[in-house]
Amino acid sequence: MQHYAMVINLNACVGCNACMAACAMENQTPVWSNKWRTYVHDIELTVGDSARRRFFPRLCNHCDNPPCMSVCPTGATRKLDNGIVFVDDATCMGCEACALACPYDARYTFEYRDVAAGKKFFGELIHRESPSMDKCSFCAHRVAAGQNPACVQTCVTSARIFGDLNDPNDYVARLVTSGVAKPLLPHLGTRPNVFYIGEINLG
Amino acid sequence: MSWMFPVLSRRNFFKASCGIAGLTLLKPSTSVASPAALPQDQAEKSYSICNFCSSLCNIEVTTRTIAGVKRVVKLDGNPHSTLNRGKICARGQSGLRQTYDTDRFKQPLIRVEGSQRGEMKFRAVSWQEAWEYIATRQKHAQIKPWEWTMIGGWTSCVFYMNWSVPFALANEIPNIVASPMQHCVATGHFGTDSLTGNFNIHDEVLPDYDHAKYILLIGNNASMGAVSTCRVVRFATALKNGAKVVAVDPRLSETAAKAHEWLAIRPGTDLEFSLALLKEMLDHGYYDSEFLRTYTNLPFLVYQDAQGQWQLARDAEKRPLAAEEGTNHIRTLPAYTNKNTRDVEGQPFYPALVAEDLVWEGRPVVTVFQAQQAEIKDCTPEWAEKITTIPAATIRRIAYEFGTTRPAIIDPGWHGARYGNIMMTRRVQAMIQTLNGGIDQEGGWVMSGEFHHKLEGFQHAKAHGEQLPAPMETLPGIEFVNMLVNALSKGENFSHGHPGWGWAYAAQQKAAGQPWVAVPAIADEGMKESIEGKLLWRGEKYQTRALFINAANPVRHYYSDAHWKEMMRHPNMELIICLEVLPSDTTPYVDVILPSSTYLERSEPNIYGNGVNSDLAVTTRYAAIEPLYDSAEAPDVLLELTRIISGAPERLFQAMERLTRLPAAAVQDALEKQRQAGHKAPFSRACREISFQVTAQRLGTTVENLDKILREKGVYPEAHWRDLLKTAGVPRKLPTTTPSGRLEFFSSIFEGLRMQGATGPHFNVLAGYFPAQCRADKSMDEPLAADEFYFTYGKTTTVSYGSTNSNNPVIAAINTLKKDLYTGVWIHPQRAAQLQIRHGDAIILTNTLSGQTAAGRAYLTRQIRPDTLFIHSSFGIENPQLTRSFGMGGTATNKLIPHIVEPVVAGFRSQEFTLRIAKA
Repeated sequence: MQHYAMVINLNACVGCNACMAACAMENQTPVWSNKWRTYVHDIELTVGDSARRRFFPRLCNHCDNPPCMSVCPTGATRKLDNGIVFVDDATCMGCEACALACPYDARYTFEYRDVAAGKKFFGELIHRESPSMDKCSFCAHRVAAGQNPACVQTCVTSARIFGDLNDPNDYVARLVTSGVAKPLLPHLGTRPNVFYIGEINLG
Repeated sequence: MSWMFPVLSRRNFFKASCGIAGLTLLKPSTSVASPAALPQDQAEKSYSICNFCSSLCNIEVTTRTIAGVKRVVKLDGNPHSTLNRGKICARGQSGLRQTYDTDRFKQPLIRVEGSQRGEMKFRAVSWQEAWEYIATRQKHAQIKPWEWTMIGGWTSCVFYMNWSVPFALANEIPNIVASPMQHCVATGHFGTDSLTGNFNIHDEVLPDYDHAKYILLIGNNASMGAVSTCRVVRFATALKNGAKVVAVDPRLSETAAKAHEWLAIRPGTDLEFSLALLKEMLDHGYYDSEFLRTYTNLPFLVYQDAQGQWQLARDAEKRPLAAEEGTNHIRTLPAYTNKNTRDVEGQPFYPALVAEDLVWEGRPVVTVFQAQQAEIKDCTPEWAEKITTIPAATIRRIAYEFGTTRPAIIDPGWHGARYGNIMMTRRVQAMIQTLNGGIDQEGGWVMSGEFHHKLEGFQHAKAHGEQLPAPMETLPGIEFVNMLVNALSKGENFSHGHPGWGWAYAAQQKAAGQPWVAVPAIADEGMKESIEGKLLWRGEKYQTRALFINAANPVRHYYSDAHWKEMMRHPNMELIICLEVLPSDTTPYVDVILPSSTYLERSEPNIYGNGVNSDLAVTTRYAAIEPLYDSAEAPDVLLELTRIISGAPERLFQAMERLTRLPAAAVQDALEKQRQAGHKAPFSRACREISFQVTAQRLGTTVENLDKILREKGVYPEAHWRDLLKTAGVPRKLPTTTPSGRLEFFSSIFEGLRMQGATGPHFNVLAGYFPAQCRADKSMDEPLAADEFYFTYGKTTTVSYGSTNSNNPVIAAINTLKKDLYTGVWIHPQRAAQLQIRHGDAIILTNTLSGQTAAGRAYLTRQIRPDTLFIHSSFGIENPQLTRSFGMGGTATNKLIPHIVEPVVAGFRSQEFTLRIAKA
C-alpha cells in the first residue's frame, strides 16, 4: 500500500504560480472567489538592511494525525489507505470546524454561490453539485490513474516532487529519510506528509 | 473525539465512484439529482502549441464531450517534447480560459457612424458587410498601397510571417511595424547578432543550462522569472547540479531570488559592469585562447586612420590579414570561413592574438584583440564601481569565476530597449560568452535546431554557388533580416517607387542634418510624420492613411500611449482594421474589428519548427474544438484584403511560392476544393494541406505518417542537438552568418553602417563605452534630488508582454491575490520615509525629461535599490471591456515613457530618464 507524500524544494521554486493555475483548472476551484487549494506565497524577509525573497508553496499536508478529521462531525473528512486526507463533499455539512482546526490554513468553503458561479464558468463539465468544505486532495483521481498531482506535473522547476514513503527507493522517501526535507510545525503532532527542503543559500 | 469512521479503502473508494479519472468520482451515484446530470464522458487528448510567449511550449490538450458539447478542460505540457519537457507555466495552464473568455469578440464589428476613435462604439455586422465596408472605404479614399501600414504583434510574426511578408510584397505595401523589434529583437538582440550572426537571439539561442557550472544573468528576469518554460526546466537542472548563479539586477527579481549572489546594480549601468568584466578577462587571460585565435576575428590586423577610427588591414582583394604567432609574419586569410587555421594559399597558420611592433604598408598595426583592449583600457573595476555601485573586488572576483569556470553562461536580458547603450552592452556580453568558447557548445549557448538546419542548407548553397529557394524558410540568422530589409528599404523593389516610410523618413532626416536612424527596420520611427503629412518622398507627401493591426496592442506597449492615440485619431487616417481575439487598449481606436479564433480552436495553416529547441523537430497545432464564434483565420483575412487592395489574389499565392515553400498552383487547387466543400477558412485549410505535403516530402515520409506522429506525439523529431553540433556547430564546424563567417569582435555590420555615414559611439566597430544619459547635465553616479529616482520595469510571471491575458480569469485571480506586489510602485522604505510616503499611498510619478505623469500606489520593499523605482508593466489597462484587467489598478508604464529612440534601429530608450514622485 502506498503512503503518498510531497517534497517541496524551496531552492527551486521561482514563484511562477503555474501550480496554482494547474490546480484550479484540474480541480475546478473557485477562482472567481479567489479561493485556492494551493498557494505560492511571495515573501520578503528583511535581513538587516537587505532583503531576501522566498517563494513558498503551501497546500494541505495530508497529515497522518489530521486535526481536521478529529473534529469532523459527519465523517466527511476521511483518511484513505494511501494516506490522502479526503473530503466527501456529499457528506460534508459545512460546519467549518475543520478549517478552524487546521493549523496550516489549508481549507476553504465552496459555497452555494460558488456552485452557481461554477456552473456558469465550467458549464456542463462542472464536477461539483453541492457546496462543502474543500482542500487539496493530492489529486486523488489522478493518482488513482497513476499520474502525478496537477501541481507536481506542471511545476516548471520540479520544485514539487511526489512519491511514496512506503517505497524505500522512492525519491521522496529518500529525501524524507535523509532528513533534508522537513515538515511544517512538527511540534504540533499532526505528522504532516508535505516536506520542505529549506533554502541552502547562506547569502 | 473517538469517532469510528468508516475507513474508505481503495476498493470501496472505486466502487462508489464512476471510476474514471478526473470526473465526479467523489460522489456515490445516489446523490445525483437526475440521470441527465451524470455525464457520459469521453476524454480526448490532442496536441497544440501554447500561444503566450516565445518559449512556444508544446502542449497536450484534454477535451471532454458531454451532452454532445466538446470542451477543453485541461492543458498540460507535452511529455514528448524535448523543448519544455512536459511543463508549462501559469499562463499556459490558464490558456483555455482565454478561449472561453466571455469578453471575446464574437463577430465582426464596425464603428458606429458619427462616433470618434477612442470611443468603444461599434455595431455587430456580418462578414460580408465588414468586407464591403472595407472595400468601399479603400475605394472611396483611394488608399494607395504605400499608404497602408501593417502592424503585427509577436504572435502574428512568429506564426504568420509566411503570410504577412508575402502579403506586403504582393500588395506592394512596403510598411510593417512589428512588435517587439524596437523593444528587444532589433535592439539588444542586434548587439549580440553583430557578433554571432543571429537575428533573433531568444528564438535562436537556448543556453544549455543543464550542463553549465556558472550562470551569470544580467538584467534578465525574462528567462526564468517571467517564465520562459523551456529555459526554466533546464535552469532547474543547473540548480540541482550545484551550478553557481549570479544575478545582476537593480531589483530582487524572481531570478535574483534564486541566485547565490544578487548584485543590486544601479540601473542603466550594465554596460560599465560588462566592460569591466571584459577588460578583466582580456587582461588576465581568462579566455580560451585557442578558440579565440581560431574562430573569431580577434587576430585580424587593424590600424587607426586619420580620424582615429579603427580600420581593418586588407589586401588588394579586401581579404583580412593576421600575424603568425611567434614570427610576426603577416599573412592573408580567407574573407569568409569559420577557421583562421589556413591562409589564402592553404598553408597551415597559427594566428597571434597579440603581436608587437607590427608594421604593414607603412602603418603600425595591431590585432583586433589589442585594439579592443586599448578601446576599453579605462574600464577598470574601480571605474565601474563608482558608477554601478558594485564593489571593484566583486567585479574582479566575478570575472575570475566566470572566466575560469567552464562551461559558463552569461545570459543577458531580453528587453533590449531601456537605454541607448543596451545594444552595446549586449555586444559586450556576447564577447564575454565567446571568450569562454561557449558558443554552440555543451554548457554554453546552443543554437536552435532550426538555425543549424537552415545554416547547413545556406552553407551548402553558398559553397556550390546556388541560389536558395524560399528565402523565408531557408535563410538563417541575420541573413533573414538582411533579405527583409533589402526588400522593404528600396523603392525600386516596388512599382510605385516608395520604400517603407521608415526609410524615407531616415533619408529625409539625414538630408536635413537631423538625427536619423541607420536601420529603421519594421519600426515606428517616422510614422507620425507620415500620418501628419510631414514626410516627403521625391518631393511628394508620403502619407500613411490606413492600418491593418494583427494581434498587436501598440496603444499599450509602444511609447507613448498618447503618441499612438494621436496617430490613430488623426483626421488623415482613413481606415483602421484590426484582427483580434479580445478587446485591448488599442481596439477602441480602430474602425473595423475582425474577430480571430484562439489557438485552441485552430489547426494551424503551417507546419512549424520547434521554436528555440536545440533538437530539430517539427510541430503544429490540431484544433481541440471547433471555433466557438464567427471568427476568422489570419491567412483568409489577408487573402481577402489582397483582393480588396490589389484586386489580384493570385499575387499572394505567387509571393508565397517565391518566399515560402508553398507551390502556388497546388495551393490554389486545394483552395478551390475547400471552397467547394463549403469549409470555413478555406485558404488556411488549403495552406495546411499543402504544408503537410511539402514537409512530408522534405522529411522523406508520407503525409499520413507525418500526421500520425504529430497526432500521437505532438512533435516529429528530426535530429538531436549533439548530432547537429557535430555537423553544423558554429563556428567549430561551419562558418556562422556574419559577413566574415567568424565570430566578430570587430563588427562588419557596424563597419557597414559606418560606411553609410552613421557616426557616433553606437556604431563603434569594437566594444566601446558611452554612458546612459538619464539627466541632461548629470552622470549616472551623481546624486539624485530628494524626490527623484531611476526607473526600471519588468514582467510578472502571469501576464505575457503587451498581452490581454491579464483578463484571463485564472490569471486575474492570481494577480488579485498578489495585487499589492504586482500593481504597486516598488519604493525602498528609506526613500519613502524621507518623502512621508507610506505603504499603499496614492502617488503621482512625473518623468523629469518629458513631463509625462502617471498615477500609482506605493509598495514599500527592500527588494529594490533605494535610488530606483520599479513597476510591473503588466497593468494599467484602460478599456473597461476587459472586465477583469480593467480595475486591477497598476500603472501603465507607457504613460511615463516618451517616444525617444537610439540611432541604430530606433530602439526605445524607455528607462533613460528619471522620475519624481509625490503623494497624490
